[in-house]
This record gives sequence, structure tokens and C-alpha cells, in this order.
Amino acid sequence: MEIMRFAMPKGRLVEQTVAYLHRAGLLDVDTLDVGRRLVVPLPGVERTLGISMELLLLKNADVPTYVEHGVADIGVAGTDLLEEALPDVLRPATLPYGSCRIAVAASEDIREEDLRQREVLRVATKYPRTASQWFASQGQPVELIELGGSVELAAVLGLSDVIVDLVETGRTLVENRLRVIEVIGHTEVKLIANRALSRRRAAAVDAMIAALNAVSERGNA
Amino acid sequence: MHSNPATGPSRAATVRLRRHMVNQALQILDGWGYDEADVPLLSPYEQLRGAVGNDVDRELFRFVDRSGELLYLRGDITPTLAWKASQGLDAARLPLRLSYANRVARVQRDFAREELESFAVGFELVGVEGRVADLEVLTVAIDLLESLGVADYDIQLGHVRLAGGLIDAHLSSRELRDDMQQAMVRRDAWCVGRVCEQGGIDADVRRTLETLCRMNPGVAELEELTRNRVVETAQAAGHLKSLLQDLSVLQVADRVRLDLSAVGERSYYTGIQFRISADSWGTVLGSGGRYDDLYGHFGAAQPAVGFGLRMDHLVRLMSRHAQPATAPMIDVMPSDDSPATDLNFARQARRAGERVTLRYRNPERENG
Repeated sequence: MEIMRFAMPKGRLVEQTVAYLHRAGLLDVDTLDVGRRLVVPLPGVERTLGISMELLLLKNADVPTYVEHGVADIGVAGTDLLEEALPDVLRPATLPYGSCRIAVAASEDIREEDLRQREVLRVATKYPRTASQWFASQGQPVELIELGGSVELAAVLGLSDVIVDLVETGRTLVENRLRVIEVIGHTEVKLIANRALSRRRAAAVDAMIAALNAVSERGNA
Repeated sequence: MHSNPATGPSRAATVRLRRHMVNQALQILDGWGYDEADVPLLSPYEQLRGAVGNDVDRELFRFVDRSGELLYLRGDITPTLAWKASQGLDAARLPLRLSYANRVARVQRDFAREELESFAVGFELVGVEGRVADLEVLTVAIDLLESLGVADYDIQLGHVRLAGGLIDAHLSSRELRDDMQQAMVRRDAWCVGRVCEQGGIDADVRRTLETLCRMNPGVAELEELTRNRVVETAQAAGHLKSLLQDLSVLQVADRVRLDLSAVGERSYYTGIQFRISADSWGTVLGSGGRYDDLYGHFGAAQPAVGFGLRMDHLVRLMSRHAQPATAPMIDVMPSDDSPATDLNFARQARRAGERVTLRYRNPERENG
């Protein structure tokens, strides 16, 4: 039996995407009890798209790799990740949730004027490519410090002058006595697809996108 | 099977399979009248300067030789072959049919990492333009795949002037054209819409551009594009429609998926572009296209179209199936007293067609 694999980062995006697929009539259920499983069948997809589908639950950064490699046919990934890793995947749809600001932030105690006077700014981030491109466009020399997580701590403890990170509500920044200096971009959540999909699988992705777009249009109407 | 510790059994099997498949591919190409070209390992970079875009340029390994000349290592073979073949090109001997099978060095992204060396097998048809030549290259590419045992191949067929014509006609800003091309390469309809907004493109054209991003567009979409007001786009769609009809006669139309968003996998492509993949392999196995302007850069303007296989991927795919049969190996361990007698035995076995290898004492292995 032919099965399509849908790679998704563990966590909130799974809940949001499952609910969205259900609203589009593609899934029989609106929540999935995944427990500790890493491969979960998606009930109802075969009836609606004519091909079975299972969910692969992965680490966020691994989703594009699985899709690029063709181990997963499609996946869900944020543009923050896609613009850093630049995987050779298609991005045929943008999902209507999970968008964030990407911002430069610094400690509340540091004056912006002081930051502007730094010859070389120390920048801690999970997004070195995005950060270096933005500071280069501003003509600001920087020393990049690449971190894997809890980036806010770098600015709090003085490892860096500023951080470049995703900001959703801004609450984490406030709780750590940081503030946004400048919003440098926005991220979106994309449905990504392998470039070498067969005709049948590509047709299933088109049908899926059409159903999802119909939900968005109903929502906007 | 006897194993060579320097290569290991699986590596040796892979190398053997690749050699087998390369020989088979060259034989097929020879059968279609393609002569193997001698592609230089080192070429003067000066010849290539300005003839290729940034995409080819940044993949090249360049270095300065002892005399101070800038050279590049054999990378993307098509431009190098075009430069070489254009030297003293005799129009009376056209069309030129060239094949190649070479190891190449180029910085390519492969499975989320950089791949520096790979093995390329391909062919180029020089001096013929239009539908028949495009069809010849598609047919030979299909024959290659089928003969090499790829059963579940899929062809993504597009034409770079289809989307290209629309983009050039409706966007005057270079920056927005680049953004639109990037959105097309990614089939990112959302970004296409955003660039349309920035460029003030009207709703009808926007809808058409967004349609080009579909994963599996149908003949109906192509038919509509043949009536597009942008002549270049309509002509490109008409050309694709004719090729689809031809491929249907060849009974491979069910293998073809249209790629209406093609904007040039290589910057030198000017007409059709196609990629071949297999359902059982998650990445592109080969690609080709028409490049009518490249020979002109080398002073011998000629239309051309070609195709190249990513041999390393193809070998990895085929290594899942049966390997070419090899005869068992006879191990001969020459004695210290009469090595010549033992070697004579080995020589006679070889003459009789046996596979023979000489074994030597390895105290480390014996002690281990």
C-alpha cells in the first residue's frame, strides 16, 4: 500500500495542523493522541486524498532534511529555519498560523545610543545567516555567537550585546528584562514538499492545498 | 567474496556497479550516434568568463597555475564541452552528438550538505533547434533510464520561457523579477502573490502566476496558457503541448508531470527544462534542457540541448537491486620456497578465465 509521509515538528504545530486538516475535511479527527509514538497514521486522509498518510514526529530542525531527502514527502517548517538551512525543497503553501516576528532585542538596562557606538556588536542568535545578512545591510560589523536555545540568557548575562530571535508575544523578553530594539522580519509556517514527488503524490498535495485554501477563504469571508 | 581492506566489500561493489552502468550508458548513447567526447580536467577560466551565470560560476573550483593562469576543474560539463566543441566547429558536420562520462568537482548541495565530487554521464545534441531535437533528447534520456533498469521514473517537464515570458512582461524591476523567480523555483504561491502586490500586477495575471506553482498542473492549465497574451509564454506553452502529444505517441505520457514554474535550473537554459526522478528515490536523478545561447558565447552560435545523469544517485538506487554477477575469486597464497611455481599456477588460472588474487601472510590478522 502506498503511503505518504508528513513530517512535523513535535509540539504545538502538530495540534494546530491536525485541527486545520480536520477543518479542511481531510482528517476524521481534530486531535491526535500521539503519546510517545514517532510515526502516527492520519485517519481519513486515504478517503479524501486517495492515498494513505502518516505523520512523522521529528525535531524541528530535522523536518526539512527528511523532506529534502525524500524520506518524508511533505512537511511543516518555519521560514526562520528554511532561510537558515536553505534546503532544496518546495514551499507550495503558507499555513495561517505560527507566524512570528524576528527581532533584535537587548537588555532594558542598555541604551540604544550605547549600542550604536559599539565598533563591533556581539550578537547571540540561533539564526546566524539571517542576523549577519541584516547587520551587513545596516553596515554594522558584528561578532556572531551561535546558540542552540535560551538565547535571551546571552543578553541577560552579558555574553552578547544583543540577541536576534523569534518574538511571538514578547512575554519571554519582558520576563527576562529585555526589549525589542528593532523588528527585522517576519516568519511564516510553510507546507514544504520534496522536489522529486511522483505525479500521484504531487496530485495529492495539490488536492490537500486546495482543501486548506478553501478553509482559509471561508475564514476570510 | 574476497574483500580488499582498502575499499571494503560494499565500496568495491558500488564502484564495480558504477563502472558497469557507465559502460552500459555509453553503449546506449553510442547506439543513438553519440560519440564520447574528451572533456578536459583543467581548462582556462578566461574562456568561461561571462559565458555562464553565477550559479555555474560559484560551483567551480578555480586556482592559479605556475604560469599565473587561472584554471578551473571540470565541473558542470555542458559549458566546458560547448567551449571545446565550438573550437573549429564545422557547420557541414552538424548536428554534433556528444556524450561524456566523467568525475566532476563542483560545489553542490546534496542532502543538506555540500557535495564536492560526483560522477556525471550525459549527452549533448548540437546544431538542431525545435521540437524534434527536444524530443530526441527526451527519448534518449528515457531509453537510458529504462535500459539502466529504472522502472518507476517520472519526468518533470517545463519550459523556462513560460513563466519567464510572463515575469519579463509584467515586472520591470530587476529586484522584483529575481524575487519572483525565486518564488517560482520554490513553487511558493504565497510569495508569488506578495511580489505581484509589490509590482502592482493585476488580478488576472496574478492568478495565472499562482497557477504555475501547482505541484501537478494539468493539460487544461497548459491549454489556457497557449492563449496567453504574452506571445513568448503562449509559444512556450504550445511547444510543451506538442511535446506532450509526441510523448503520448511514444507511450510515456503517463510518466510526464508538467512543471509550469520552471525558470531555469541552470542559468544558460533557454527552452525546455526537464528533471527525472524515481518514485523509489527521493531526489532528482538527472536533468536536462535546451541552451541555444551558450555556443554563441564561444563564437560558434548553434542551438543545443542536452541531458545529464547524477550517476552516484542512480548507482545508489540500483544497488538496492541485483548486482551484476561476478565470478568467485580464487585465492592463491604463494609459498616462500617456490613462489614462481605458485604464481605460474595463478597465471594459468587467469588464462583460463578465472578471477585470481594473491594472498600474503598478515601477522597482525593472524595474531588478532
